[in-house]
Amino acid sequence: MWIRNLLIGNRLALEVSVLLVALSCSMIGCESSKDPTSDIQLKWEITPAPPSVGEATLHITLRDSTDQLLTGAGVSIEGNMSHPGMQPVLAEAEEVEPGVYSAPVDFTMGGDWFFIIESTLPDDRVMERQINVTGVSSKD
Amino acid sequence: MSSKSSSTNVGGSFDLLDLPVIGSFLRWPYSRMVMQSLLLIIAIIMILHGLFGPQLAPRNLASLLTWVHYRGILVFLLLVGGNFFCMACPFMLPRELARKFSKPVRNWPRWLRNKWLSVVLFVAVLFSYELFDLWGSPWWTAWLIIAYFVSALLVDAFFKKASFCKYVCPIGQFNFVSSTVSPLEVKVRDHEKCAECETLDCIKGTRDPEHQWDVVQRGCELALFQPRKVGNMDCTFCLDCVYACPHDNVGISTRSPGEELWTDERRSGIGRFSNRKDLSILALIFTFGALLNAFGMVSPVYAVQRWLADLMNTTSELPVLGTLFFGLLVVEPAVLMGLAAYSLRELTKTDDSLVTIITGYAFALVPFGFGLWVAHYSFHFLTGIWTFVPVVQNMMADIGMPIFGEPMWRLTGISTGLVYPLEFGFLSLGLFGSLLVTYRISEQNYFDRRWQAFIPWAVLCVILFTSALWLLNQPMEMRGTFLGG
Repeated sequence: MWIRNLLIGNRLALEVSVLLVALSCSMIGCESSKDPTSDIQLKWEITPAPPSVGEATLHITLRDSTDQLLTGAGVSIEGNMSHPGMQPVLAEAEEVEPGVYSAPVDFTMGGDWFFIIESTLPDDRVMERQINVTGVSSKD
Repeated sequence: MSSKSSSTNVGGSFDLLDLPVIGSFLRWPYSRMVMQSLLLIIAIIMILHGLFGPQLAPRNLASLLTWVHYRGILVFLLLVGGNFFCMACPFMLPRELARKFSKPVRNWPRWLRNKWLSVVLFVAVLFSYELFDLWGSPWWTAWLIIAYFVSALLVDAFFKKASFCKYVCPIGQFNFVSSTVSPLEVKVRDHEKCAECETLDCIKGTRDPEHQWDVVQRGCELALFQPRKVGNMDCTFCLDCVYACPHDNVGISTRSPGEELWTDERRSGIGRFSNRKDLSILALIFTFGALLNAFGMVSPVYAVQRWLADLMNTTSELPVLGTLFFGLLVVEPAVLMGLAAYSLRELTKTDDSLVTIITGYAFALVPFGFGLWVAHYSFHFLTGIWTFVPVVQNMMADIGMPIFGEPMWRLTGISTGLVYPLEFGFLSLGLFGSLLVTYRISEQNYFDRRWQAFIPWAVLCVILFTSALWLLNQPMEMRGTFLGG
């Protein structure tokens, strides 16, 4: 009964509730813009696999829209843990084979990592992709 | 800025309000609103960045400031000062505004005038943090902040006084329990002056001399009558009592941290600790929750989760996490506290029931629990203290105003090797505090057999300390994925 009295008794609170619910609904569903480098394929692997705390190497392979290996790109990586406030890993990748770029990675802590891979393509387009390296083990 | 002259501090203890700049600022009746407004602006920026900014936790202010900086600053302020977050709480600002237009007429339901609801909400926050990996989601963190604003606004729009702070807010309960070991307390300067006081403005509020029904300065909304207030429990440091007292007889003074945990006198607005099972459960959840929260960040937790998942033949995180929480927040405290209480009864030959003993000694674990919270949060805060700089630089660049330059992503904080001795120090301080409170409770309740009463609880404190130390020495493994997937 007291809840019913309450709801009837305070219109301001009800109006605020309705407004906030409407605001919540309107905020859901924001879309990101189209990626101008969607024609580029990025494949990656990490060694050793599965990774553990310590040094590892991230290998990135880039291919263009015709499935040809993409040479001469500048690739830099930034690794972060999923938890904020941790030490990031920053490195420049070297082209070790045509279209294949390798970067050293030092996993300072076990857990989930993600990498932002920024590639400056030969046609000067800048491609940014994210890859997730989950479950880095804290034991060797 | 200051409207009152400083009165003499009769007790001779340090009083924050006597300091030249800080004291003058705090005495200014609008000081709280200024601090709240500042935090409100930061909260709005965090919400907007959380909803519309990059959805990568280390690159978003919502997740970064909430889970790294806010928690660290909060526990440091509690450790060296008092409940200053509640003082500057931005969640109260919208409700103050709402109350300008519509004053609530209802009292908080009598059956909810305790800490049971806030205990449930406190556990719910800890559980959601683990289940939804809130630290890794700017979007959900932003919604958590919004939910806080909405809850505070709705509860206090419906109900009179500070119902949200006293009976609902999980952060507030964390702050109340933590502040029992803080060195500062809002308290009466000279009790003799209070004995002569006839208006009791500190609780009733200051009335307009022309219109007696108009309250021009409210008194304590948490029902803490200053002359009979003991300690920091339930005190939000709002300073309404300071502004209301016509004799300038309330200050923010130093005291013995933790002393209120062993005194069992009747407290205004609270009663006796020994009669408050809800408060003792809150103290236990606070302590064992600290262990659980730290356990969630180290690698053995994943081995336990895998074992539980195999045992339960499930790949769903909910039942596994639920079982883990039940084990660590219900079974573990019940077994350990039960054994300690049983040993005390055997050693002292007392007739006190196990529940009575546990209710009394639960508060002795608070210093240890707080030490562990400080150790844990200080790790994240100190090792990532400068990480907000590149995130702010990046945010400004994203909105087309790169006034702070290129993001310096290499900025982090103090190295983990330097932070570890600090963590050990906080934990040791907590153990020392818990042993002291345990001894004083034993002395008070079982004077002739105080050592027999002390030993089982001291052993429990050392067991908890050892397990916390073990946790701190485990390799950290911060995952947002269940079973490594």
